[in-house]
Amino acid sequence: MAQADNPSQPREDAAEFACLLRQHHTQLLGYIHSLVRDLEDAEDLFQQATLILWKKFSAFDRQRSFLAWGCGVARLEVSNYIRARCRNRLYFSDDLNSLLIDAQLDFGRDEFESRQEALRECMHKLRERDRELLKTCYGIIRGVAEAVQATGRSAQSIHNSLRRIRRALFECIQRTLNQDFQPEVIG
Amino acid sequence: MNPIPEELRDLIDEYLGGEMEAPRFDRLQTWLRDDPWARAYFVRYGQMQSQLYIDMRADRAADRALSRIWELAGEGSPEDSVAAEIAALQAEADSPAALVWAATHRQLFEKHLHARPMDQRVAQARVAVEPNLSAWCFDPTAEVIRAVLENPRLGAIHARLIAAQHRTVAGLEALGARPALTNDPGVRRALLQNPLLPPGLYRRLWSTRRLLDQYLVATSREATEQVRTMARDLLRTTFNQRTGEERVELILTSEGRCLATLTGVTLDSYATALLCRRTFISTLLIQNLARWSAAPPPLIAHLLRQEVVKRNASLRQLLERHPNAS
Repeated sequence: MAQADNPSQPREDAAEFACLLRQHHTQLLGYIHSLVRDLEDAEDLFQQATLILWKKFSAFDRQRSFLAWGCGVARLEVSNYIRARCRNRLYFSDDLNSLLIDAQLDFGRDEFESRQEALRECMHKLRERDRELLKTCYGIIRGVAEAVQATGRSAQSIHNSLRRIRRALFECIQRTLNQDFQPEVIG
Repeated sequence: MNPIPEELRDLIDEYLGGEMEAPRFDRLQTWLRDDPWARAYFVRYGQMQSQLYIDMRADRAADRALSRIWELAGEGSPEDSVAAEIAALQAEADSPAALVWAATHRQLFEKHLHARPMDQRVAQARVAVEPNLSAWCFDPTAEVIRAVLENPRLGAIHARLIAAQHRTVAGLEALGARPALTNDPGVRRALLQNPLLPPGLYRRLWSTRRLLDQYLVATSREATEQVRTMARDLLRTTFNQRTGEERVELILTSEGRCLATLTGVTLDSYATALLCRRTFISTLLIQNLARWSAAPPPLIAHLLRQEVVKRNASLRQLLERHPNAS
């Protein structure tokens, strides 16, 4: 698909691009998701941003971080998307966005991968019903509505449970990585 | 890290959960703007939430894909059908479908194969057909991986799975002993990202690559520090074994940035002569050469004759202070 737009671009570029994207796609998608908070929208924007990154890849300075470059492009895409659709007015200002991209970069690849692994370990420690609730609410579109229907609980109650589970998971990750990130408050 | 106040944690939860109103959003923005710890927490908490979405989607997708594989397996010619799917996925190894494929086989391994005794796993991995062959690539033991590598149906996609997922030195060395597999670019990329990549294997696989390729690994922000260190060591070792043209290409392409890595390395008269034939216009390249203690005297003299140096007093001073300046 992308190669068709750049027929002259060498195959090595395509291989390098694929490698870089594969290394960072989760973190980049996570960044977009933190801005739009809807996974469907985030995936659409991720696709758009990826296409732009590929089209501009020949101009990419290899001394720069691919993730920083990707976040910069994605930020503009998200901004345009929100403006065009006149929705979701809760969008961070440009200066704060720049600070958040810096924070993403400080959050290095090694820590990111350690956290991914710790999250999977912590998922196994959850109670079965909590794991099922996550699977229902996060695994499908409009998952909370489905959980409301399936359990007969209110949406607020489901949201409260999700919040409790998320915090327990975050605390578990911190413990697993032995990081001092306010362990005394979570619980 | 500093304690994160409960109010901030509530704000971030509300924001990420899509439950936030404008006044609270302003409060969150101000907080994030003013407090680096709040931003660090926000980024990590947000990434965890995204990862939960992605993992749960992948789990559901894997459930569906696994069901389909069982259906195919009941249709008389399961190997052909599944092999055709693999071939399609091989053509697009970085696609979401390929990621789901990997997730599916991990699940197949964990649910159905993992509990079997070791001798049984080794024997079955050696002769397995799809879908089990891909699933055996997730076995954590070197013994089973060796058996997978002996399987006559083994292809590049299996080697990529092993390179990316396997975590024993012995298993990775067994993969490294198969040049037909390690020549695959996907396998090499996956190995670079594997934190257990043994230094000896890295040297064997990359020592024949161009200096520029080695330098890109040495400076890649995406590689782990361990891999970058191995790449720097190898670059220093192989630099003087390459032709003058290749050494000069590395210096010019990197605008001299590589020289910071090349401590303790010298430039012979041929490579120096190649550099001295050129006209230099890049300030950065000249600065990097001027800061490189091993820059030979003829090169320093040549740089001092460049127009860009004559016009730039600080560059000129930098070169004149070089120990090899006459």
